[in-house]
Amino acid sequence: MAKPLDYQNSIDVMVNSVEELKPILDPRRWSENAPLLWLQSYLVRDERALADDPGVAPERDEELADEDIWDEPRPALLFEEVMFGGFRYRNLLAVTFEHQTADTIRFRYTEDHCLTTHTPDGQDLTGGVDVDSGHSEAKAKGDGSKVVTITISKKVRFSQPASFRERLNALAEMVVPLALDHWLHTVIFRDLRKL
Amino acid sequence: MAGDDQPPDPRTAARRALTDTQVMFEEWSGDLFELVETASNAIRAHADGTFAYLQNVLDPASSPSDWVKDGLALWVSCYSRQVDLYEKTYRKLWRLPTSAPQPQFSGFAFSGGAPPGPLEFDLDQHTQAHDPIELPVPISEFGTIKLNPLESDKGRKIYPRNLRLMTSNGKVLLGLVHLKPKGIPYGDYHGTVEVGRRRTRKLRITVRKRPAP
Repeated sequence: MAKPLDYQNSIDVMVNSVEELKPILDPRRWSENAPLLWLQSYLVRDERALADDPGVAPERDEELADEDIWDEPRPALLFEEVMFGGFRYRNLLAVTFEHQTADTIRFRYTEDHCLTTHTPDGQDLTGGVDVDSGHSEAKAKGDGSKVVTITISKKVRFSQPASFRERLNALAEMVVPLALDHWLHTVIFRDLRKL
Repeated sequence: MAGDDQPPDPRTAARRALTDTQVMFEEWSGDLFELVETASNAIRAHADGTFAYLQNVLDPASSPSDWVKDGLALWVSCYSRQVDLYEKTYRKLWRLPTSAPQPQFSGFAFSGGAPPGPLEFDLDQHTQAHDPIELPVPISEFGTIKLNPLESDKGRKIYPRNLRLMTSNGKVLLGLVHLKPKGIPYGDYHGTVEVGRRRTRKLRITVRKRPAP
């Protein structure tokens, strides 16, 4: 029984407001911020944008591409094409953006379903990820300082290719914390560069 | 001694964690997956130490010069070593034989698909989506398929919105999608799939208990 990888960590940074961190937490920028991992990441409005064939990428919603989506809690689907362990996963996440109070922004996601797994030898397998959920949040301390706590969490488990499941999930135990810790450190350095 | 009153320098702990891991890695002769777990723990310990240092940099008493002198050097050192460790582990993992029987993961195996048995998913309570299984229905009848809710003996339901029909390579597929991340109650869920007006196929979803932590 493989349990999903379960990660959570948080850091404190100093910013003028949580608004500054919107681009950092925005999943639409994953492919821009980490192009080696994410080949694509964009929003689609709902499942009506999906083709019957999981091999066909869902239609990108151009309105959602540029919208300030943090204004109110709202659901959407995020299509991501991500590399892991040499395989290319085309995955669909159910996402929610929240900015209900001035001192907090939050992005939550759960797995809708994985469309396909592309192998280096050219196979396209249906599915591939059966657990992928978490959140990222920026929350001001609220003590009059400029300190904002960023918290990220993630659970993930791979299901394809079947013959690589065990090692893929073992690899995830190592790589996912490494990548997310790295991301958090990068946020700190982004902040420090302004000093 | 005066030094005994000083808090431990997180940089020292961070560097020691990585050095120990590298030594362990070179000398390891046991199970590789155990190695990955151990290396992961060491990396986390190292990252925590680095975090602790970086958080201290944010202290009002610190200055950019502190960061330039120590923070950047530590950060670069940290990640170059971690990536090196990751790459070594990665290479060792992929050298494992693939012909050995793979352990069965709950959440992936399914049986049935051929008449007269029921179509069956088998998942655990972590599962948020299940890879699609093939429905024995001609693709020409794709548009006539109707999915009905599934119900457990205790009256709990899985609704059609969590079932998604797909087509791939001339086959009709059925996936289980967008399940609650906190898990669905364990048990057997029974329902039917209707094809056209006359044919009905039993569908069973088995949800296993979440394993003990």
